[in-house]
Amino acid sequence: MNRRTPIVAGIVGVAVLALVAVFAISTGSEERPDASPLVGGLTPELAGSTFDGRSFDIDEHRGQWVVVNFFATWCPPCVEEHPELIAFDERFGEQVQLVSVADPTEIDQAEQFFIDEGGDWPVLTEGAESASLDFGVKKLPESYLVDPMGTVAAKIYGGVTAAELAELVRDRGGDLR
Amino acid sequence: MTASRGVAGRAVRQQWWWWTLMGVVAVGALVVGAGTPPTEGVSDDRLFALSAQLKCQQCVGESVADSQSPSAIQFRQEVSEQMARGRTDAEILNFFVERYGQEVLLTPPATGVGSLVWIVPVVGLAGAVLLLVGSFRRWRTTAGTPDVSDEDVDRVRAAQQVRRDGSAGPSDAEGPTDAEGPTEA
Repeated sequence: MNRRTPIVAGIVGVAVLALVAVFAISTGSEERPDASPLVGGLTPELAGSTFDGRSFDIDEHRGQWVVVNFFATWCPPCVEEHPELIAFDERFGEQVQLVSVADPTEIDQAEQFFIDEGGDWPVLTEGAESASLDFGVKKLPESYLVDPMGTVAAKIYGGVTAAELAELVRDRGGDLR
Repeated sequence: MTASRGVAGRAVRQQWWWWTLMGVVAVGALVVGAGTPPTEGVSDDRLFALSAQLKCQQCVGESVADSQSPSAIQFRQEVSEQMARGRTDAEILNFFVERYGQEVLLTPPATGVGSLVWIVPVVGLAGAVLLLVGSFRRWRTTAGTPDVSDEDVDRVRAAQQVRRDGSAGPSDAEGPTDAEGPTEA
């Protein structure tokens, strides 16, 4: 065997191992579903009208924590988390503004869903068609926590409970009582 | 014998050049045939080219150009609107990166860790070519200087002598058979 063969094999082996390690580390960080380039930046625009024709503009809620929830009635985890959102709104609704954005393709179903299941917070049905794109929504349900300065404080991927939501607000500096 | 080897070598070299030429022509034809998608204006070609660079968020392994999911349709509408507003390709792609992160792009970035995807194959290919060239050179050197002992040389000389003696005599019809048999030094 050539004397250089073990050296070349060693170099190639180390290079391959280093490459695998680099890709393993980088892939792990990219695949975190709650990661979003929006976190830490100013919230995207969110304005439109609700079921009952009232208007909502997130900019008018500066000074208050806001939870923006994206949902659809055809999405089982969205249906599952709905009672938790109701519980959160009933407990902390005075301190945290909850707003839902309905899937633009099923506005009527979304309205009926809220009539049937309850929920007393604004649900945007018109004028917010591009909201899911602006917020970078990948899969439903997803929620975004916006702090009183208008900065996106966190992205919540998947269904959430009232307790988790409250803990997240407190964790980001919110004084929930 | 030497002449026939030379002819064979020339033939191999000629074949090699033909294959190289054909490869260059094929790659050139592919590049020309594929064409370059437009980078400005509003057209289906540009919409398709940009959408093909975006990953569908609700699918597995599909681009926005290939998918009919609601999210992909929304992406295409946004691309179309931004093209109509006169945005450049980079601006449009950046719009999605700012919201969905770098992983929304199907083409890895040319900076940071993602650049390894571009660099590693080139470095690997260059390394492989260098190794091959080195190996071929070693083989050729080894083949050109066979390890011949004095005993071998004497044996060949004896065989040649036997052949010469045989071809001069009447038993010429027996040909090289004599030469191939065991010989005496």
